[in-house]
Amino acid sequence: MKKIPWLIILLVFLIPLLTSQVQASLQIWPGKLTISMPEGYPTERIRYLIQATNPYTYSVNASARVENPDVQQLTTNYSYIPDISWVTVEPKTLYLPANSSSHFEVFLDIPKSEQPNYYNTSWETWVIISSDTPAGDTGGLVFQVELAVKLFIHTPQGEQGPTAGIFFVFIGVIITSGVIYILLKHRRKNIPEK
Amino acid sequence: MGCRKNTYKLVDKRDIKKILFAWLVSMLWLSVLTPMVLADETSISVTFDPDGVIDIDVTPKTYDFGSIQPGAWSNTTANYFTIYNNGTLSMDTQFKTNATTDSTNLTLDADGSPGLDSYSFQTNGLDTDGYITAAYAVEQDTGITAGTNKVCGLCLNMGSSISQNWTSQRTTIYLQGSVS
Repeated sequence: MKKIPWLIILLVFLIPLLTSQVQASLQIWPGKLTISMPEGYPTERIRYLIQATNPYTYSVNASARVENPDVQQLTTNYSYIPDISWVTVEPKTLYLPANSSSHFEVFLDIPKSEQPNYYNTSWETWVIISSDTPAGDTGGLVFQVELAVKLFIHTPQGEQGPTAGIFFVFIGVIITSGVIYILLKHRRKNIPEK
Repeated sequence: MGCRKNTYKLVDKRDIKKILFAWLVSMLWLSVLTPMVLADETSISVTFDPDGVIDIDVTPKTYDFGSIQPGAWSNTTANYFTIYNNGTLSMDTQFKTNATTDSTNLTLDADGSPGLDSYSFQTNGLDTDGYITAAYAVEQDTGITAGTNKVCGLCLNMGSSISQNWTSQRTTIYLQGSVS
């Protein structure tokens, strides 16, 4: 009979643990990210990480894909990215052991030939992440949860050519060379001939 | 005959000043020009606004509508499903479903008027209830606050006629969560 109170206490602690596990899903960070290029298009593709955490006590495979939202879900003042293949996610499927975290890599690669066509524009696309969490074998209806990471991209305001940089380098080299030349000439005068 | 030794200053004070001046000019230009010359790596900015974790789930994840006659409805209770926002940000949710059942025997009718060998799903209890389509469309629920949940039900409308008595069918409904 003395065991019954202990059993009740044990159950009180166990039930919340079990139920919270049912309510947990993949945890994704960040939920929304904005990439801006204030200094012009970068020479290399842009790379960013999305962290996926598996809170389950069993391993899951998380998969990711890039997808444009429905036009009704598009944020005001944003448009679709002209070519969705410019955004890629690697790996497509990520193995997450129990209670672990790992990363998807998101790449943005706007072809150089296309860059001059897209200054001062704002795009929105989504990275959709889902897991193969077992839903159970019974029932004609099965739910699958997906999480959307909103990706906003702001292209550069305008072309920023290297002309100014080259000009300043040229002027700098001339001034420095002139100073060194004058110095050396003056120094030779101070050395008496034998 | 002693050798006369030529003595001269190799570098006088004025020379030192000029060397210092040349060095300063060089350094000045170097500091100005280095970022321009090495401007190959254009910086980008990445911001998170709002910053936080997203985590949406629904329970239970299955439901059995049982045997349904043509033209009939089969509904869950109004609060059968619970959508949990376990993240730290306010979330919107959208629903979509496969265009057919897994066996492809039955076809989804997204308008709510299923005919031969077709069916429709309708949400019940969300901000914007409607027929579930095969692609994500309008948000069914907006602004589910972090740490809270929302209950809803689902209604299945079987087509007006069937070509045969189909065996059990199975399909998937996708629940997508995105930051509000």
